[in-house]
Amino acid sequence: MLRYHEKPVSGRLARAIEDAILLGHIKEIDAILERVDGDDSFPEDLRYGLEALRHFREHYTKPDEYARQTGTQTASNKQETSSVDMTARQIRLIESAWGSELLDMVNGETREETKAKAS
Amino acid sequence: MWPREETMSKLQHTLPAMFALAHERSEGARIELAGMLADLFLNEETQLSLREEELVNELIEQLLQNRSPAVRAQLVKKFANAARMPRKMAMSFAYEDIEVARPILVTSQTLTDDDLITIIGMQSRDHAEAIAQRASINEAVADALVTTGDIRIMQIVAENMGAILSRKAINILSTSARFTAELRSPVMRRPEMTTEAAVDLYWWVSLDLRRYALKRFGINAGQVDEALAKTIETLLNYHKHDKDNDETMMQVADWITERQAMTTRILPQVLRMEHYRLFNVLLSRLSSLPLAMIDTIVAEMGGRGLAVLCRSLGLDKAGFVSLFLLSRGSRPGEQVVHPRELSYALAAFDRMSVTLAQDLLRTWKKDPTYILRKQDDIMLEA
Repeated sequence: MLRYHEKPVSGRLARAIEDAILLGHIKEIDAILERVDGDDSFPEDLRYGLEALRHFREHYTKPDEYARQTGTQTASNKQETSSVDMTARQIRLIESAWGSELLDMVNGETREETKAKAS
Repeated sequence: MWPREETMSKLQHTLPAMFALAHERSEGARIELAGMLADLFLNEETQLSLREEELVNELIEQLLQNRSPAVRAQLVKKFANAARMPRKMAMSFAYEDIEVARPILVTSQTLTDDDLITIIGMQSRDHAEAIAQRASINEAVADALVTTGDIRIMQIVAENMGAILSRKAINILSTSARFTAELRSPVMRRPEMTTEAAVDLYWWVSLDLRRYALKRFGINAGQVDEALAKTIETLLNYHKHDKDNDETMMQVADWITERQAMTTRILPQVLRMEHYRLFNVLLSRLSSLPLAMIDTIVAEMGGRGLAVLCRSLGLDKAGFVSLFLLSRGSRPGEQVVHPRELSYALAAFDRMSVTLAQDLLRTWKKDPTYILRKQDDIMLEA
C-alpha cells in the first residue's frame, strides 16, 4: 500500500517535481529520481508514484507500443478507429489524474483533503 | 574426327537408303532407320553441316510422325544412354510419359536451357525431378526448378553439386529450409550459400549445422542475437492462429528449448507479438513452476507474484516493468495499467531481494496451493 506522507516536499525540489509532472516528459522525471536516489527522507509513495508515471508515459506514448496496445495497426473500419481514439483519450485522462494526485502529494495534502477539494 | 569430305561421302552414301526407309510404312523399316540415325549421332566425331542437319532433321520428323509404340520404344532404346540424341527427337520424347522421358531429361546434352525451362513449366513434377538430376544445371534452369516449390525437387537441386545456384535460388531454398528439415543440411553446405542467408537460417538448423555455420561464415554474437529475434518473429507469425492452443505453444517452447534459446531475453518480444499463452508457458519452463500457477501469478492484480518471479529469474527493474505492462494486454476488458497499480508493483519489486524471491519460489514449488488459492480469490472478486 502507498502511504500518504505527512510532510510536504518543499522548495526547489517541489517546483522541479511539479515541472516534471506538468511538462509531460520522461527525462525530467528521470532527473528527479536520480536526484532523490538514496535519500531516505524523500517520501516513498511519491518516489514510486513518479517512477510509475515515468514508465506509464514511456510505455503508452511510444508509437509502436501505443499502436500495439490500442490496435491501431489492425484498425480497418470506423468502429475500431473510434475505439483507438477512446483508448488514447483514456490514457490521457489516467495520466493527468495521476499527475494531479502526485502534485497533491508534493503539496502535502492527505487523500481526504484531496477528496474534499474535489467534491 | 572425320574429314568433312569423308563425312559427306559417308552421308551421301547412306542418305538415299535412309530416305528410302523413311518412305516405307513398315515398322521394321522405321526401326532400321532409327538404328542408322543412332549410329550417325552416336559417333562422337560426327560433325554435320547445316545442309546435312536439315536432311537428317527431315528424316527424324518423318520418323517421329510414327506413333507406333514399338518404333518409339526402339528409338528410345537406341538413344537411351546417349547424350547426343538430336534435339528435335529429344524434345519430342521429353514430352512423353516420365518412363520414356526420364533418360532423355537426365542425360540429353542437346536440350537447351530454354527447352528445359519450358519442360519444367509445362510437364509433370516427375519431369522436373528428372531435370534436377542432370549432371550439370545452369542458374536459369536451377531457378526454374526451385521456384516449383516442390520440396523433393528442391532437395535434389540442393544436393546436386553440378547445379549452379543463383542468389535468388539460394534465398528461396533457405526460406523453404526453415520449415523443411531435409533441405537444411544441403542448403547450408552449398558453396553458393551467403553469410546473410546462413544467418537467417542459423536458428532453424541443428546444433551441428549451427557450429558448421559459425565456423564457415564467421557469424558473430550480435548477428546470432539478431537472427534469434527474427527467427522467433517468423515462428510466432507462423503460429499466429494457434496463439491460444496450449499444445502448439508447448511445441514452440520445446523448439526454443532445443535451441538453447530459452532465456528471459525473448519474453518481451513474445508479449509484443501478443503471444500471451506462450509467455506463460515460457515463464513456467524458466521458473519450473506449474503452468496453472503461472496463469494465476500473471493474472494477479498488483503484480507482486510477477515481481517475485522476475527477481528470482534475475531480471532488472526495467525488464520487470516491461513484462508487467505488456502482460496486462492479456487481461479481459481493461488493458491499460493504472499508474497506481504500477507503483505498487514497482514497490513490490524493490522490496524483494533475489534471495528472498528464490526462497519464495521454492516454497511455491513445494506448496502450489498457496498460489492456486489466490486464483479462487480472483474468481470471487471477478
